[in-house]
Amino acid sequence: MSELMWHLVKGHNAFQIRRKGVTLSTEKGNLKGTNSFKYSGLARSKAVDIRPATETFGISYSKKRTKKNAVGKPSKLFHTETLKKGFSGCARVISKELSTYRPDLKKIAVARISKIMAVQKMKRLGKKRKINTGRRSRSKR
Amino acid sequence: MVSVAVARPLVSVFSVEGEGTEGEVALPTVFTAPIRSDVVRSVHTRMALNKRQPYAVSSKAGMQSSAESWGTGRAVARIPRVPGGGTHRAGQGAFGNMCRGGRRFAPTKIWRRWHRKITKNEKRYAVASALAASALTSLVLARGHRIERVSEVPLVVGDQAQTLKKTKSAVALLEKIGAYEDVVKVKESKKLRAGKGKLRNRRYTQRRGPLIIYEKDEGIVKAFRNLPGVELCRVDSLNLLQLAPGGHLGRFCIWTKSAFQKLDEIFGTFTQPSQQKKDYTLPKSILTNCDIGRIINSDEVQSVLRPKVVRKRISIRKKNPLKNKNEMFKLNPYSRVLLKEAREATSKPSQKKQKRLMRRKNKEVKKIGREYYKSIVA
Repeated sequence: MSELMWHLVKGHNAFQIRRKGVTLSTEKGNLKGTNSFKYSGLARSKAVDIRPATETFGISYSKKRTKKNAVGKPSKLFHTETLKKGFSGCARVISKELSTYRPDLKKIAVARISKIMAVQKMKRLGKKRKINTGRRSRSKR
Repeated sequence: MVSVAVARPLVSVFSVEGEGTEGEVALPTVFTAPIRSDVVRSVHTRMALNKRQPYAVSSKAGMQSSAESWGTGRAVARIPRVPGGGTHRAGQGAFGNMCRGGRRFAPTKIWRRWHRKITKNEKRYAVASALAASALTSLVLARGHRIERVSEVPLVVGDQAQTLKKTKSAVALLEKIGAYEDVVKVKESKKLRAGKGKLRNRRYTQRRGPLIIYEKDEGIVKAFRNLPGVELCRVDSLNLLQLAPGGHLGRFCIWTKSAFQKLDEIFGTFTQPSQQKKDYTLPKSILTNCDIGRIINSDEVQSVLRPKVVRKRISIRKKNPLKNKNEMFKLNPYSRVLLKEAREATSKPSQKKQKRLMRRKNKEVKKIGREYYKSIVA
C-alpha cells in the first residue's frame, strides 16, 4: 500500500520543492526533507515528525496513527505532543518509541533533535555564544 | 485492493444543522477501484482537448494577389512578383513565406483534429480511479488541499446541504466540517496570470478548492457557487476534469448523503453490474495485494526461499601495517603496548594525572615524615 502510494506521489506533489536539480519535500512526517520513500510522510503508514515547539522551547513530536479507526481521518492523522525536556530527555523518549515503531528512523530523528536544540539554545543564550556550524564560521574567526 | 468478501467500511455522515454526525453509510465499492494514474492522465489530456475552439489564420491571407514569377533572365530572384506599375507594390515579391505580405509557412487550418475520442470504458475507468483516489487522505494532501482539520475522508454531509440557499450558511457548513481552510487557500492564491493569457480573457489564476457532489439541486448550487474555488457537480455526471484537475489524482470531494449512496447504483460493484451504465462493472486490479513488503515476508514465500548465500570476500585490499595501526595490531598485538609506552614517554601527563601523582607523592612523603617523628618521640 505504501509502495503504491509512493509511486503515485513521488513524481509530483504539493510538498515537493525542486530547485537546481535537487528535490526536497516539506510534508509533515518527513524527518529528512528529502523526496524519498524511506522518509516520506505521505506514502508511509508509519511516520514521525519532529519540529521545534511553537510557543515554548522544546520539541513538537508527532506520530502517525496506525490504528484502523484512525485511517481516513485527516484531523486525527497525527498524534502530537510537546516535549519540553533538554536534548538527552527528548532523544531518549523518541528513540525508545522509534525502536518499536520505526527503528530505521532513530538515527535521523536524534540528528534532527540535536539541530533543533542547538538553534533553540542559541536563542535562549541571546545569540551570545556562537555554535560552530561549519567552514564559514571557522574562517570568520 | 480488491478483497473477495469484505464488509464495506462505514463512513460517518456529518449533520448540517446540529453538531457531530447523523449516522453512517457503507463505503461504495467505487472507492476501492484500482488507482491508475496512467489511465487518468491519458484520459484527462484527451478530455481537456475537447473543449477547444478552432483557431486558424485566414485562408486568404497573403494569397490575394495576382502575382506571377518573372522567370529567369531578368537578374532577379524567381519569386512571384506583383504585376502592374505606379505603386511601390508593383514588382514586389508575393506569396512566399519569406516575402513581405506573403502567406506564412504552413497556415493553420480549421480542419486540424481538435477533439479526441475516448472509449467509454476508458473514461469510466478514469473516473473510478479518480474517485478511489479522492478517498485517500495522503493523495488529497499531496494534491495540495488543506484538509488537516477535516474529520473524515471521504467527507459526507447530510442531505440538508442540498436545500441550503444562502452562501452564508454554505460557509458556516464548510467551517463546521473543516473544509473552509481549502477555500481560504484559493482566495489567497488569486494572482495575475503570467503570460499572454491575461489578455485573452484568462486574467487571473487561482487554486482549486473542494468539489461538492450532490444528488439534487434544491438550492445548493446557488449557495456554494460564489465561493472561490468551490465547484459543484451532480453524481450522475461526474467530470474527470473536476475529479482530477490537471490529470492529478486526489481532489478534495464533499458528498451529500444521497449522492454518496447513489454511487453503488451508478458504478455497481465488482460483481454486480451498474444499474445506470449498461453492462458495466467496475474494473478489477491486476494485483489484489500490492504490498510487496508483506508478500516477501509472508510464510508462503519465506518457506520456499533457499538460505541466504554469504559470499566471502575473495581478496581484501592490502593495507600497509607501517602506516595503518590496526593492520599492525593484527600482525603484532604487542605493538599496541609499545605504542602506548612511546606516547607516554614523550607526552606530559594530563593535569588531572599530575595532580593525582603529586597527591600520592605528598602522601608518601608525609607518611615517611610521620614515622620519623614517631621514632624520635618514642
